[in-house]
Amino acid sequence: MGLAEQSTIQRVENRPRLPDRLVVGPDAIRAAVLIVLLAAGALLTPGYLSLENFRILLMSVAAVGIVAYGMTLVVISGEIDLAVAGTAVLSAIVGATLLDTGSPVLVIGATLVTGLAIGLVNGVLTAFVGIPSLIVTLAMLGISRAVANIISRGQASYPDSVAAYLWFGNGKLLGLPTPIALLLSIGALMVVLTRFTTFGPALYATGGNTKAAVLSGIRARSVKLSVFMICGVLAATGGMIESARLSYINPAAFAGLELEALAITVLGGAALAGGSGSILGTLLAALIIGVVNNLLNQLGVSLYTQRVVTALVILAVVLPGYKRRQIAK
Amino acid sequence: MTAPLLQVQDVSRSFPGVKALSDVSFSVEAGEVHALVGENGAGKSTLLSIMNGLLQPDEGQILAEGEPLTLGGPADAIAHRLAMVHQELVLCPNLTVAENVFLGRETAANGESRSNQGVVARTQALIDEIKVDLDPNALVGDLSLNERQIVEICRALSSRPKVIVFDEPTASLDDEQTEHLLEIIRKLRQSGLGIVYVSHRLSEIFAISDRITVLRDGKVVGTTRAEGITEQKLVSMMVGREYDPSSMSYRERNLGEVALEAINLTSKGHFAGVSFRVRKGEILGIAGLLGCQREAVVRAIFGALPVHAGSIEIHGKPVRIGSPRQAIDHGISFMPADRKDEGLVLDMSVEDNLCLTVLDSLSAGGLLRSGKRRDLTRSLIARLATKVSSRKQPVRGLSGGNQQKVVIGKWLARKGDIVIAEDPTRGVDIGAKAEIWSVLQEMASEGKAIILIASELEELLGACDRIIAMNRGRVTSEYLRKDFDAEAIAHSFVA
Repeated sequence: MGLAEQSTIQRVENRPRLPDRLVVGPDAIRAAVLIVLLAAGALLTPGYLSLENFRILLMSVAAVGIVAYGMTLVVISGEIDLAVAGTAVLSAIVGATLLDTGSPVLVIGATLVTGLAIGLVNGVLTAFVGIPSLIVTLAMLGISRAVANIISRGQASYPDSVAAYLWFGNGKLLGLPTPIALLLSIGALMVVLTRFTTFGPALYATGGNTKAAVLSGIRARSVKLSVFMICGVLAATGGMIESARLSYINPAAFAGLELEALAITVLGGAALAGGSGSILGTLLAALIIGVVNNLLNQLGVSLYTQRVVTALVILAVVLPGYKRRQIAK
Repeated sequence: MTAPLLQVQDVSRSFPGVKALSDVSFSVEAGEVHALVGENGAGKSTLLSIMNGLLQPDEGQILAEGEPLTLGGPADAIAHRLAMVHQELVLCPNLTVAENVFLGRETAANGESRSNQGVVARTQALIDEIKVDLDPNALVGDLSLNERQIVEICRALSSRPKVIVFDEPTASLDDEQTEHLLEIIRKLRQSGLGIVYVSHRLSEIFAISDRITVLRDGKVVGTTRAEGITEQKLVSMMVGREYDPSSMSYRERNLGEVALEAINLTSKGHFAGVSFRVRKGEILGIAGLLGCQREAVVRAIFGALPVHAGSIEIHGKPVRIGSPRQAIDHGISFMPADRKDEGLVLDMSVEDNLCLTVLDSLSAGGLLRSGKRRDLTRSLIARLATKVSSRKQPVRGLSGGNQQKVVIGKWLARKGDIVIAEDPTRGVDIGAKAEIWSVLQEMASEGKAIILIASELEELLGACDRIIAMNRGRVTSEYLRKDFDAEAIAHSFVA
């Protein structure tokens, strides 16, 4: 009996499972939450939807959003990078040692190369030596912060003399403030990387089922090394944007950045088990967090209360997804 | 006349968009093995979930000795003396046999001794009851798969059931272990228990059952006495059309040059001095029992296990294979048996899984050529008659047979000329089985060299040009198709 002949007789299987399109896509949920929050803001405070307020909002999430992109790639690959705060600090401090040269190429180059190098070490130790990334990057967080303090002797630096450096915080790109332009353009680049290149399926397969990926010819270790290196560069970029914005390179900066970036990543739909998550989701999640903080600021809510509310929002947005996953199983 | 031990009466159950069961009835008498058969998606899993209290029926009821039961969960089922032995073993590897048997029931309920010694003694009693050899103090992690199956059976027996449901108990057992399990089930039947037996393997169904109920599309097609029906008739009932066994059978082919030769391959702790060759257009079977290390041999050839000595030649040239990537670059394909663990990325779409092996050829400067990817996906889905709702559907939601077709499809996409297929029809329904065998025969006819491992010797006898037998990490004998003799080959496993 030929295959074509058989297929005409075959019926659609009636095994119990939910139709694929019964549930709204998770990114649509996140977008809806964002719109509801913005509407609430418009009702509560006059002039909330002004351009100026949008600028404030986007500026507040640009650096952490870019760091969260890197975190998202690492989490999709099934790993975690807790070192991002240390990476941001050490990269910025290494760059600061070259401020006296007055060369923007050296300062900015050294900052980004340091981020790349830290990512390389994280990636090699995780993917090729086989130490769990939780441990590798936790150690790296401590080491890089400590080294930043040793190099700088605990002293902050002021990059006022290097205009190109300050441009990252206060300049304009494509008519937008540089941090916002970078948040959007790096985001677009990462969307292309994860959805329209061959790296995308390799990345999701590595995180979803490493064994199956390797047996399909995917170089899973190289994939993991790559995402750690990208994450390192993006952490350095985020650190540079923030330092430039404040004109202040501080070895004690970015406390808790790793948890903030991780929270955004999870809110953006990435599962810590790997294999899922999206850059678009992460961008929406960063905006949600930004709007919540921005609203609470405008309402004069204390910082500690803000943190509780932010955490509750994360749980509320993440919960339906997990419930659905359980039903689907 | 007394009421049957267990009676399923007019049970219906719907899910959004599908009616999984409609008016299903069957009964189990004391001292009877009642087999439930049907293709994947026929409703067996839903029915078992209802019998285990995991799902509630929309209509109908379940009666035990005439009394209607309300089953709110597996605990209720056990309380009504209805036990289940699961397909996927749910045991804790770091606990002992006895601890697993009484897991969750260590606290005294009715004054019985639940001390460690009591538990060990009671486990020993259960082991003696089914006349097997197993140490209640052994760690489950150290046991073989069929010994673990016995632990599951003891666990079911420990609740003193009147009815035991076996859900695909032999899915990961080899022929000898299966025979052993069937022997235990016969003893349970003799002691007056009612047995419900679910399996894809028809030879077992005929070996063990007294009555057979066939499900198709959520309905009972019929219940029949086992001795009054042929295998062909039973399959026709299951698939709803005449079954043509010739589509599974061997096709005469011309063999070409040697495609792959293994010379004295050794991987420490696994196998030693393994040599064989496979020609273009040939299907070479590797036969053996669990633990004979044939899985290790093919993994070593595919670069997934280190080779410590010996060499591999492909088309007459010696090659070094240090990783699956290198093996693939040398034209080797590998379809692993465990599709969920090794074959597929379950949360990725059908398309992404199918294209995973050929990402390089779908790329233009790193960018995915989505048109080419779509065309490739569509042609593979059609060639294998894969039932999917869309190419974007996650493979997690597919039936076993369709998942297996995706595993085969991704290697069809790669067009490698040496194909290793490991148990390609494990846990797959009859219709899909025939299609998969037919595809493998076609691949051989196209001139590919195929190395085949199958857990049922019968399948190897049906498909192969030549069979080598392995025992404890060594090749013990070789048979050409004209000399195939099931008994002799089976004997060489253990010799």
